[in-house]
Amino acid sequence: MEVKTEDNSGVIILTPMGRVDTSTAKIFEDSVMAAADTNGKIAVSFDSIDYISSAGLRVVLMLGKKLKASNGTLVLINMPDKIYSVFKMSGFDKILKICATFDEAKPLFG
Amino acid sequence: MATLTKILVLDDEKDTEDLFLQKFRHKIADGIYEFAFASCQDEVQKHFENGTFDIFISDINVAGMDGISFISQLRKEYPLMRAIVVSAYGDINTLRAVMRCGAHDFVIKPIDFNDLLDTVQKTAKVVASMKQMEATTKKLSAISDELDVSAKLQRSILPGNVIKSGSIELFADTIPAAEVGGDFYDYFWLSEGKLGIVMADVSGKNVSAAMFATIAKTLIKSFSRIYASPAECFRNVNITLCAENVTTMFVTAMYGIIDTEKNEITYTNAGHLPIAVIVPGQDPCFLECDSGMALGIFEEVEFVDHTHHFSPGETILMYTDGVPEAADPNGAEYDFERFAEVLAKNAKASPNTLTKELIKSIREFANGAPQSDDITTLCVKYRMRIIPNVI
Repeated sequence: MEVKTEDNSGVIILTPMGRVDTSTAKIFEDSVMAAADTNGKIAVSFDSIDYISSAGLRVVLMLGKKLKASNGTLVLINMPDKIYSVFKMSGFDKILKICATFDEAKPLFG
Repeated sequence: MATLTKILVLDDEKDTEDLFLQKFRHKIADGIYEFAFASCQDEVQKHFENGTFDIFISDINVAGMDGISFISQLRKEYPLMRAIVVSAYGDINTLRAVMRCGAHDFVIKPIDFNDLLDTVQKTAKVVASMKQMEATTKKLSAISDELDVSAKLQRSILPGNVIKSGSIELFADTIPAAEVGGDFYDYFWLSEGKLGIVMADVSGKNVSAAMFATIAKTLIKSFSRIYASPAECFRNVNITLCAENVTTMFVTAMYGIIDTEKNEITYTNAGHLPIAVIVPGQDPCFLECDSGMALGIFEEVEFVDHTHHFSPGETILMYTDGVPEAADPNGAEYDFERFAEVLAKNAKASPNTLTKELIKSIREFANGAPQSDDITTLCVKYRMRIIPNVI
C-alpha cells in the first residue's frame, strides 16, 4: 500500500492505493498525518483502494479531528459505492464531508 | 554513533597497560573502546563486580592460574562476552585447548598490534551483532507476551457460548485472527423473559483494542440495567466513551433486548452491520435500521430504537465484518450473497449447527488464505410460545 500526494491549487489530494487494513493502516496514518502537518486543506481520494477496514476508518477520523483542531478542512472524494457504504454503515458520513468529485469539493476549501 | 566496546585485559607484564593505551589511543579518544586492566584472577573478578565487558583479552600463561578453565568459567557467566587469548606458545596443543574453552580468537606474543587491532575490531562487531540479536529477541518476546495478554483478556471478557432457556436457544462464538482483535459479544438477563444481546467490533488490534473492548462491554452491561431503552443505553455509553477517549479508538456495536412476553426484539445500532433474520421457507433478510454512529467518536449522537416481531421458528444472527469481509487467496470477499445462501440452507438448523456451517463455508471460500479479522457471531433461535386459543 502507498499514498500518492498531489497539490491542486493549494489543496493536497491524498490517494491511498491498495488495501487499507490493520497491517497497512500505519503507513496510511503516517502519510496523511505528515500531510496534515504541512497543509490545512486536504482531500482524500478513494478511487484507488479496494478495501478499508475499521483501522483505516480510524485514520480518516484522526485526520478529520486533527484538521478540525487546526481550523483546516478535510473532504473525502471519489468514493466507490462499496467504500461509501462502509462510511455510511459506521455513521462516519454524518461527521465527515463527502463529495463525489474534487470539483464538487473545491468550494468547501474556500 | 558508534557504540562503546568495553574491553578487559588480563596480563601480568607491567608494560601491557601502557602499550595498549598507547596503541589504541585514537579509538579510546573517539569513544570506541574503553579499557580496564588486571594482573591476576582476583582483579578480574573485582572488575566484573562493577560491571560487564564485551571483550576479554587474556594471557593464558599468567603465573599461578589455569587461564583456560578461567576463560571457560567466565564465558558461562557472561555468554555475550567474547574472549581473545594471548599466548607465547602457538603450538597445536595450546591452540586446541584455547578452542575448547570457547575463546573467540587467538593472538601470539610478542603482540603484533596491527593484528590485535584488527582482531579486536572483528570481535567487537560480533559482540555488537550478538547484542542486537538479544535485543531483538527480547522485543519479539515482549510482543508475543503482549499478544498473549490481549488474547487472554479478549477471552476472559466473553461469557459462555450457549443458552437454552424457554423460547431462546443461543449460540455465540468468536474465532480470533492471528493478531488479537477487538470483537466481542455479550448477553445477559435483564429480568425474567428479557435477554440483552450485544455484538461489537473495536477498531484496531492487540492490547489497546482489548482494553477498549473491556471498557465498552462493561459500560454497555452496566448502563443496560439503568436505561430500559437500548438507544438510551447507547447514548450514555457513547457520552462516557467520548469523554475518556484520547486514543481515537471507536467501537461499532449492536444491542438488542429480546422480550419473550411480547415475542419481539428492540434493538439499536451504533454503526454496526445489520442483524440477519432467517425464517424457514423465506429468503434471509437484514433488519433495516438507522445506522447511528460508532461509539466513542462524537458525543452528540442520537440513537434510535427499532422493534422487530419474531415469526415462528425464526433465527436471528448478529456478526462482525469478519464474516462478509473474509477473503480468498485472490482478495475476493465472501460477501453477503454467499452469506445469505448459507443462512437459507440452514434456516431450520440449531444456532450451533448454523454457526458451524457458516464457518465451514467461510473456510472453504478462504481456501487457505489467512484470516485477517476476527469472525464473531451470536445466533438466537426463537421458539414462539404457543398460546392456546380460548374458546
